Amino acid sequence: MSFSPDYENYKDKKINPNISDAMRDVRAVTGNTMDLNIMNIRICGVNCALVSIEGMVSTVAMSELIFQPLMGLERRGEQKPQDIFRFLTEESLLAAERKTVFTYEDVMQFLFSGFAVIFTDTLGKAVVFGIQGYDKRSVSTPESEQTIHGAQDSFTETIRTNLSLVRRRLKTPSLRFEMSQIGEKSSTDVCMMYLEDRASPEIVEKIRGGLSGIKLDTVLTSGYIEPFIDESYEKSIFSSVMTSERPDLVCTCLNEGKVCVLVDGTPYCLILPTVFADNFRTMDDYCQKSYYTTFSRWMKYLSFFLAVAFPGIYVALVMFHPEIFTLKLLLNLAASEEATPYPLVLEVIFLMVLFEIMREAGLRLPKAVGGTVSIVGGLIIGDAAVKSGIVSAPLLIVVGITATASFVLPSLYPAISILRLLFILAGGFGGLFGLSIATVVLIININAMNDFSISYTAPITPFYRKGIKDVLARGSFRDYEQSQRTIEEYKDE
Amino acid sequence: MNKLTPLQMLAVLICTRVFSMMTYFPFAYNNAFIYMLGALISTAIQAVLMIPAVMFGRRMINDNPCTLAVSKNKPAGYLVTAVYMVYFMLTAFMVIGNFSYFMDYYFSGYIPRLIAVICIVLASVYLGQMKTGVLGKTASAAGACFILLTVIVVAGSMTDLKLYNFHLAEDNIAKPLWNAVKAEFARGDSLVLFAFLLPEIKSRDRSAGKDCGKTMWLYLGIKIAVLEIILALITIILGDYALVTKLPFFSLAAYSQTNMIERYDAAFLFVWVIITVVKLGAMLHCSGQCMRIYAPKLSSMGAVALSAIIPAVFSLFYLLPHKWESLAYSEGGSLWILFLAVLIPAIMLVFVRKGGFGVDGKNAEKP
Repeated sequence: MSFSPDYENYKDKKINPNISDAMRDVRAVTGNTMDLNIMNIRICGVNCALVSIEGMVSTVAMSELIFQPLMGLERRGEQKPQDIFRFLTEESLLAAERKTVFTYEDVMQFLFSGFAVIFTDTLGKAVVFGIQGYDKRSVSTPESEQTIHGAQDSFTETIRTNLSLVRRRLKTPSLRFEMSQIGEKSSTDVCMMYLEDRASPEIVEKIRGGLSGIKLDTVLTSGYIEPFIDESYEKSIFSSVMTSERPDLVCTCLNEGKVCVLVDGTPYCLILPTVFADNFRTMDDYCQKSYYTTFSRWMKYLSFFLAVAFPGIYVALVMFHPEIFTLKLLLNLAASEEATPYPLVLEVIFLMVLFEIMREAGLRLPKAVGGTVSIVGGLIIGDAAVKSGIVSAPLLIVVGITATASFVLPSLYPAISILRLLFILAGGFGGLFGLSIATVVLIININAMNDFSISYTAPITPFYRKGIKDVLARGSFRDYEQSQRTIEEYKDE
Repeated sequence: MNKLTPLQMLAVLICTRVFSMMTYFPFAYNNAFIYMLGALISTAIQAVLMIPAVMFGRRMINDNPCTLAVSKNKPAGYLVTAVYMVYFMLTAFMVIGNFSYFMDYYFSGYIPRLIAVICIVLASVYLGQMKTGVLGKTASAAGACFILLTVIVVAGSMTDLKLYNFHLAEDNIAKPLWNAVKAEFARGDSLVLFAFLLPEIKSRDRSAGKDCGKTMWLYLGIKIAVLEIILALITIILGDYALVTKLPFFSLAAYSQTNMIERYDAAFLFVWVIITVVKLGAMLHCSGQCMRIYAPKLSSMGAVALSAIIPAVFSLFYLLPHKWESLAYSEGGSLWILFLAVLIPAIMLVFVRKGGFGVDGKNAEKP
């Protein structure tokens, strides 16, 4: 059945053999959009058309890799359309990426990905050349996962660049990249990466299935696809899908049998499945001696505890269990709290909300202004609040410690900030009883996470003797030399 | 995830026993040594009595006594299931009531009883409706908290160790010893839990039977060790005061002191609540499983919630008018334990051995 294609029904339509009609179809499908660039040329007596999207292709590459070789073809004299096509597809190397396409769907897919498309009269097919030239951010230092001794490069928004950052670190043929396009309208490139000899085939298959099942119109960041591959996305406050902007960390995870997913347009890579202890690892751990790494790791555990529970415990103890404090401390706390007009729990919530507002403001504002917000918020408002007697000085210390501790683990920040509020409420209304209930519910919630049959609490519970070493202290490289563990060891059927 | 590793099973059993130890300790025997000896004898008896249950666990891979009985003889099976379910609900009732009552007793009622019951039951239902593996993992965390608490409390009392507090003189040893043996046996609800959760124990080498035995003997060993150590410490540290207090473990925590913390009873409360949720969650999980034998279409959440409502409501009938004291110090339960943890598995074992139940694919006897 022949019909005139437009943007709604072009997908099944084959390329029209008549080049004039084909160009008319291309214009119809794209609505003759202003950035559509069609150049009609006659090569060796054959009508051809070069179609591209303005700003998506490199003009330098186009002139050097396409125009010049095609003009050189003129010396051969009159040719048949098949000869031109053969030259384009078999006898020349005009670009690193080349493919023959037969439908308008493929034409549009490549056209909007920055390819140049050459149509040849009477053939009903076209050749696409990858000469992308759109502006992209170059590889820069990591913003949210900085290390002292580790590599200083991070992912960018361009998926091909990101793939090269991984590939150049893992020069093994077992590294697999599986590219797919997701999003009815955005056709976003999504690449699943894994090591064939490390990753569990079941996990790979499950993630592949999850990705292929996505029916969204657009996929603009990796957050769009996370709910489809994170099995406990709506059940738990934590996530077994970790994100990283560091190619070296991604390579470490790949070597542990994890699967990584890159999304075009996102400078972060999704890593899955992960366990809770993975949030406390950084690349610096592998650059320092073991004793210091162990110390640093325990500082992170302590920070997590302080960030989540410290204000809640403070509220619970001061309001309900002051008998546990030593006399001097008790008198100091009592004097401070006596001078404030509101219940302690309200004071803490007020300060924590204020802190979150300042953090949000600092994040969205330009860096220079963000610093000013910190000064105004942290120093001036804090100092004024204490002097005016709205909040007590010890409480400001508690909130300060908590806020600092929460920045130690950026990957857990969303969970930490919500849990902290819940713990404050639990401690404020139920004392240690309330805190205990909140703690046990949190423990149950974490224990219930079992994505891809990997227990989120492994290797602590279920207990894995080999794995626990790496939780309590960083294992030695001599241990890694003897046996490389993979995430599959934690499989808990 | 559906099954428990031997270590997790151990943690569930220990938490179940530790709750009794933390909540109400029958210490009024004038002589701690008698109770320690009684507990030792009782544990040895338990070790012998649990042999049929362990052997049952070795032979049956997928079935607990209820599911096996139902699959072979429905009326008898439903009866057995009903007995187990009533026991678990009764234990849940006692846990809820004891927790709320002693919460008042320890902490002067800073949380209203109704609120305490609602909170503890909701948290336990959340745990109970999860798969058994989650129960095991949570019990492991609770066990770790208990160990930490014990170490801190003991460390804080080390300066007051007085060995002469540990006197052995006793005029009539037979009766208090017998009472101690009975009292310790009556606190063996973990044995029923073990008998019911037998098919949930997993084994790496798929010889689950061996792990059943190991888990049980290890549990009994750890239980008696913990019990004897804590009893000895309480006696050595608190001296005669231990004889007059009904709640020695709490008193020990309140007495413990360091340079930074004046007393540790608040820490005791924190761990005690977690242990309570684990024990209650385990009981509700099991009674929920029993309920689903009657109504397989009932969701796990529905069955556990239903199992929780009945004991919670009944306990409130006693708690709100302050009538719980009549139940709080009761030492019933020995017969239940004997029947459910020893007799029923033994009867099942005899039937299995005589071929009375036959062998089929689902609950096949292991070679």
